[in-house]
Amino acid sequence: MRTANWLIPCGAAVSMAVMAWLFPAKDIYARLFQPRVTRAEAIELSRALGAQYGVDTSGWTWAATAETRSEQTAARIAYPDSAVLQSLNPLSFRVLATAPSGESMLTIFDPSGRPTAFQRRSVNAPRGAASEGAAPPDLLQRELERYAGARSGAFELTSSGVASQEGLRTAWEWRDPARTGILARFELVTRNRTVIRATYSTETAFRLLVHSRREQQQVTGALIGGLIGIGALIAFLGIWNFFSRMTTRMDHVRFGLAAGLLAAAPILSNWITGTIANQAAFASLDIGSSAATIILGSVTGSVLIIVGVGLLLASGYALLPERAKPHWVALRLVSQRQVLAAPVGREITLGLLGGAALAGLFYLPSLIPALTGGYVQIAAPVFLMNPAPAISPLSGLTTGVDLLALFAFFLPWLQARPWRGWMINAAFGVAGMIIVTAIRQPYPREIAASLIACGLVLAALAAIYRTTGVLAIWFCTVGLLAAKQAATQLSAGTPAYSAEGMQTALLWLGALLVAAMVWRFGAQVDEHAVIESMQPSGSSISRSDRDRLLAEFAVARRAQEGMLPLAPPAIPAYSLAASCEPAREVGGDLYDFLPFPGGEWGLCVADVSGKGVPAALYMTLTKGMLVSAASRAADLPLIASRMNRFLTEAGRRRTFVTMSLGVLDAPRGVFRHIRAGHNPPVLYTAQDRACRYLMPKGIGLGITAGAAFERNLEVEEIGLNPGDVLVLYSDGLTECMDTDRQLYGEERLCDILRRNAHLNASGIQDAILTDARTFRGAADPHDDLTIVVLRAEARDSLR
Amino acid sequence: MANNFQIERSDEGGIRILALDGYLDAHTAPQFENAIHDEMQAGHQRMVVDCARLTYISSAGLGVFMSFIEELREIGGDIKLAAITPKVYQVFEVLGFPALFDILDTTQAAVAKFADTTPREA
Repeated sequence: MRTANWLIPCGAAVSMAVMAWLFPAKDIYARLFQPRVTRAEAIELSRALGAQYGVDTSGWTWAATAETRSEQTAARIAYPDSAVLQSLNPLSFRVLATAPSGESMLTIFDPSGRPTAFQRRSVNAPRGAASEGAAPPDLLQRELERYAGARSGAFELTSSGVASQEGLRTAWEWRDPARTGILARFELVTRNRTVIRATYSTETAFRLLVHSRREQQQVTGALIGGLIGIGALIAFLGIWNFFSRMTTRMDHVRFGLAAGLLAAAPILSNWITGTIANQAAFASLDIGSSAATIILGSVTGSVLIIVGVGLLLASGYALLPERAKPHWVALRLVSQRQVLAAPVGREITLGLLGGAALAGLFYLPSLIPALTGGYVQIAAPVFLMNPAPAISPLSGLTTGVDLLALFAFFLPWLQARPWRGWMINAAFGVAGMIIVTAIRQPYPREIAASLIACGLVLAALAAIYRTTGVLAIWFCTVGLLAAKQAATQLSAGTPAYSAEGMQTALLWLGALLVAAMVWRFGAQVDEHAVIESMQPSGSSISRSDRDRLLAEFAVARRAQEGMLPLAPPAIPAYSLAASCEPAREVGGDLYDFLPFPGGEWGLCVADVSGKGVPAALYMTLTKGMLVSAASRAADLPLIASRMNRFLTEAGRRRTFVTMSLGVLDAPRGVFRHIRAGHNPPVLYTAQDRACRYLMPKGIGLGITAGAAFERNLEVEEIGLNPGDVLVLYSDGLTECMDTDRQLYGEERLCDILRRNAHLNASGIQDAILTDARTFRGAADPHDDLTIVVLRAEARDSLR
Repeated sequence: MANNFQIERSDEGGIRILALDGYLDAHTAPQFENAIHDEMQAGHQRMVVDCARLTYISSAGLGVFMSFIEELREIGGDIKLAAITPKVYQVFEVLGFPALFDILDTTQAAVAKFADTTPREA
């Protein structure tokens, strides 16, 4: 447990070193995309380009996004020596400027900042084919050089000034001299000597890509098919599970929705930073609906994501087996808004670090010689689209839901099955590998490398989970994205990117520091109390089984109650009262009144160690032994040692019984008693209004069969005068706990006894029970509670 | 998972010291049980349980002590208790443990006790 506290940070440090070494050579950003222009710089370039074409963009709104073209990626990797293909980077920035009037300008740049496309859209575009105002040759040459750069000399004019609906279209082509079927094309459309559209593109003939494309489609097809199948299955199981419990388990839903609110953090931050408005602008450009419609759709989607995560957590929580509960403590605290509790700080700290540790694992398969052809692609270029790139790793809280589902729903679901451990591990490993590989697919071109990388990551996640919990797993994705993003930004090598990289790293470090402070200085929480406060799952049994068990428990409880005396015996000049409240359906406490020879009465309170069904079985055994032993002898030590012998043999020392047994000689006012490891009875004497605890020596029953038991058993004799009160009780009374785990204690018992000693036995009993219940408050009764009260009354008061 | 019960193990003059820290109840008793079991498997028969930082013990916790003591004494070993706080001592005392176990003020005293006494009879 404790080793994880330093092992995970060490893993993170090693992973950083691995990344520093492998990232520049293996990551797609460093190897192929090589971004040198940030989002802000791309917008600035677009503004400048617009100005050159006479577009005044002051007062316009800006949006920017990054896009990767997978076909170009595949072509570039298939033909790395083709200068034509190398002339266009598969990663591009699209910058959109929109005027209040609706006029717009779309520019596209490659990662180095070279424009690759320009398009202007007017609200009142002139209709009809343009036929005049042909662009002068120097304008055409200037534009070709602007878009084609140093390669412009290789381009040949293929059409010139062809009239079209857009305007006059001129096109150039650059054919790959070594390979037919690969070419670059530049198109320029002008109207009245003004540039309306410019497009630089590359083309690769279908036949040249057939091999790699088919391979890729097969892989992706199979993975996506598997993913959809598994996703649908999990969704179905989750919904089925959730709805089958909906009527009785609103507490689970409340827990899920409260904890699921964490998923709102990245969505909210995207709203605040304008990422959603940015996406909406592009969506309205690409699919043509209005930005308002798209934003509405996005709000609905966000709510669905939060509710979906909530239901996922609720379903997992409903299934939670006992052994999984410790892993949910931090999330449970989050759902109760106790985010400043130390366990929450610990899991977030280790999650952020654990995520960074995972990042390096993705690169390791690239060290296998047979797999070195692949490049690593962990995440989509989200940060290039975010107006505040440093906070974009937070999006891991929503994009990492697949991993959360794996640990927060699928694992508890497996653990609730009556399967062997290895079957659960195998099923979890297989499903986990498929999910992680299908969604992450870090080596898009090499399925074997993807499987190895995802296997490593899944194993590391499982190790992190074992030592932390689901909250840490959830934050792993944030740590992973932060490490990967900082590496990308810092490796770009431009000052603007380095600054962004530092911001990302500092923000991650800041979050880590805050979490670590909460871990170190946050509220200490009693984790057992949190675990106990989680609802019993009952999920491994069906509802009909549960109903049957509940019915059987009710029968067992009645049977147990039947073993207790119906009413205390009437003893002249004494009042007597007794009660026994089991903490669960059945209990291990017992009290009894036994007729002794010569009109004496035996009073007994016994407590079996443990609680629930095992204790209840022992309680019935003890009752039988007590009655049997007392019927054969009236001698207290003899009864006790007979019971001790029986119980030592039956219990094999793992279960023991403590017992207070006394005999009242009513006419003489004498009480003789033994205390076999039981809580000392309390005696209130009316004369001095004082309480004292009676503690003759004695060892619990069933602990030792040796002579030590008899040798250490004392019989104590006390006198009872009118007004004196004797209380026998089990530790369920003095160790009754309130919500802060404070004990009721012996002093409180004395106190309440002194204040109510003038009442008769049942009045005193009610006063004690009421006081203990008030003290306990909302806390669960954690042990059975039994008391027997005996009061010596004034002789003339009875009869 | 962090836990509010911990066992630190150490060695002093050939005697194993098990220092308990926190709540020993039905939830944490198996942890303690496993620890003693491991020690016995490793051939350690003489142990001192340091209770200085033990804040609470329930009947399930007491059961652990009893479940091993006889077996240990049969093979010539023993468990001695040391540095029990008054609150926890009261629980031991009520159950009659002082008659069954050597209870000493410090772990050093408990270790020394091993040197000059034979195991007690249970």
